[in-house]
Amino acid sequence: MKNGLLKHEEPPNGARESQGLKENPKLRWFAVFTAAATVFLIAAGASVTSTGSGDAVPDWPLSFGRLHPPQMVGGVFYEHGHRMVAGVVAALIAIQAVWLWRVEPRAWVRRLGWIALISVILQAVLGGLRVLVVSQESLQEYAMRMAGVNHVEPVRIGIGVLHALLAQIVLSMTFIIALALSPGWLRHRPPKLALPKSALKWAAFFVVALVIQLLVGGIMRHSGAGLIIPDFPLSHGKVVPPFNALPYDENAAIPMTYSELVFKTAMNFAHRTWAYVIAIGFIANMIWLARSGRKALGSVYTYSHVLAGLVFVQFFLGATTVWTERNVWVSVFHVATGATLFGFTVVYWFWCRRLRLEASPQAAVSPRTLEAHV
Amino acid sequence: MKQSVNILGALCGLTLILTACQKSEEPPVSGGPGTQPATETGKKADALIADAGVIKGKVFFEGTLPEPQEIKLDTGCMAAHGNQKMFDESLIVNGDKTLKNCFVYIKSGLSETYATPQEAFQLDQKGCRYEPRVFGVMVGQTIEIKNSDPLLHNVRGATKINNAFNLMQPQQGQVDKRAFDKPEIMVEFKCDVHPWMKSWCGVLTHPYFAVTGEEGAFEIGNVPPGKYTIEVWHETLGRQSQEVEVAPNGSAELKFVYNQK
Repeated sequence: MKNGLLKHEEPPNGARESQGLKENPKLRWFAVFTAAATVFLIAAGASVTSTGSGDAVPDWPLSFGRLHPPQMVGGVFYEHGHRMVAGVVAALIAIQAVWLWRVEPRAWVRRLGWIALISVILQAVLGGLRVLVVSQESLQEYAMRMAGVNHVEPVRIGIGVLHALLAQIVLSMTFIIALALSPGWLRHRPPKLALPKSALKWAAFFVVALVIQLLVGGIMRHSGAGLIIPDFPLSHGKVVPPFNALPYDENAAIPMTYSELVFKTAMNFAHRTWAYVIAIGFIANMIWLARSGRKALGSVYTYSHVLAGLVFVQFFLGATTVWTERNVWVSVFHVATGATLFGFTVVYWFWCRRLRLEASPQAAVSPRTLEAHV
Repeated sequence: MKQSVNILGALCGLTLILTACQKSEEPPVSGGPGTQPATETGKKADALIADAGVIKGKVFFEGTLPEPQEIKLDTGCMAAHGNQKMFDESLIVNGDKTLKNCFVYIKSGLSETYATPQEAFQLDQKGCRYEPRVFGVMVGQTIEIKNSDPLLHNVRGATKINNAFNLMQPQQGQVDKRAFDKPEIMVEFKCDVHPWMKSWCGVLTHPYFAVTGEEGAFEIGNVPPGKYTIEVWHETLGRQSQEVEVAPNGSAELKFVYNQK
């Protein structure tokens, strides 16, 4: 044992070769392009929310009754533009699924291709519902009745948040597919040092922590709570916002109940507090791995640096979003960087999982266990 | 928690009926909920009341006037607006420091019920702005929303109490009708294509409201004698209220001042 790392006993016996895996550069670059296009799609979606254009095109799947609206101006540019990008990404994911199905020997990669396709279609339907639940009276009435609410707003926010969250799941699938086809993954040889169990646990924690952060961020964004705390790093001039004495204007033109204000403030504060936890976690993880195993850990070592760098940029963008009073492009970059961070965190978790599988004694005796996962 | 589960359940159901809910292309004139003829119950809004009084007054602005913000128009809106510059209309202070576009209404004190007017209110989109910016209607009263521009708009009713709606108006001259079935101060009408386009509608159960104009003045006539709470609403400055007593055949004067430091 060296600095908490177990010395790897024995390399696994030829799992990769047994599957007849060959590199497919064309498919690999296609997968990378699809993953990058998915990040762009999330950025396009963020531009819709940031510019308040989500309802600029009241119908769906057509736009003003046509495939292409008569004018691509103002909010229509953002909303219909988002739909166009989504159409392209869905087509890319469909091509990728078929391509994988035809040439990919690993069942889990083929399966993931189809799941990504189903998810992106479901994602499009959610996007459509988000629009129609406001513009279609019968649908609105039905949604309100089913949800047991007397206004459509909570339903609209709920669909918006689900739409945002599923987008991240689709994105993570495209990242995993690109990873599975990468030379680094295919040519991988177990490192000299085995990854400690705790590294995998931390990787899983980061994935869960980011899902929570994306969920809270989505609620904050879709309920218009992004600037409810106008200062940063303090909150209303204090470390913890004064929840029992928030600045409340009962004579505001657009009324808000005090409990609504408290809820929005709590979401905003949770998002920024959790951001500290995540940022410190990623940086500590990078330092820990760097001190322990250094480059012997290969991709895990590299990715821990990439994640720490991304989380730093993301934290800065979050702060800048407040300081610029939610500048549209800063907000868009914040969302896009958050999505990229999530995608790479899932990739990092995959790497940790693989290294742990390779380090386990079962893998050494049974290549099947490994085959099912790499 | 229960509500979240309900919302998720609703989403699943919505997916199934999605296709059934698609509308065919909108006709040039279309109706909406509540646009059927108004009920005849209650006192007619314009019925003269014996001994009625009047509530009048002015709304003033004090403080530093913000610089008028020019709106960046796209070429279509620029042409529709007569190639004139357009400025933000959310705070218009008249030359005599009075405020335009304040919605003034009787908030409480009325006991009668009033019949919904038969005539529709006209809301127009002209030169990429709503006309009027602020207005009032009674519950159930039809609002005819017209697109006079040679370009597309959407009209979204961003409500808090009434059902929300979002209409597409791609054709010049298109008219859609809507009505609200609950009182609400205020319903925001928005165009999400042109985000500066806003209009505000006060929905009341009675006809006692007014909107301030070029001289910041308001007058609410035909008011039954009694004690009332009068509220003034402004889209950026918020709300103020005052108590007033209207004597038989009397006239009550009010002065509202918004002080912005």
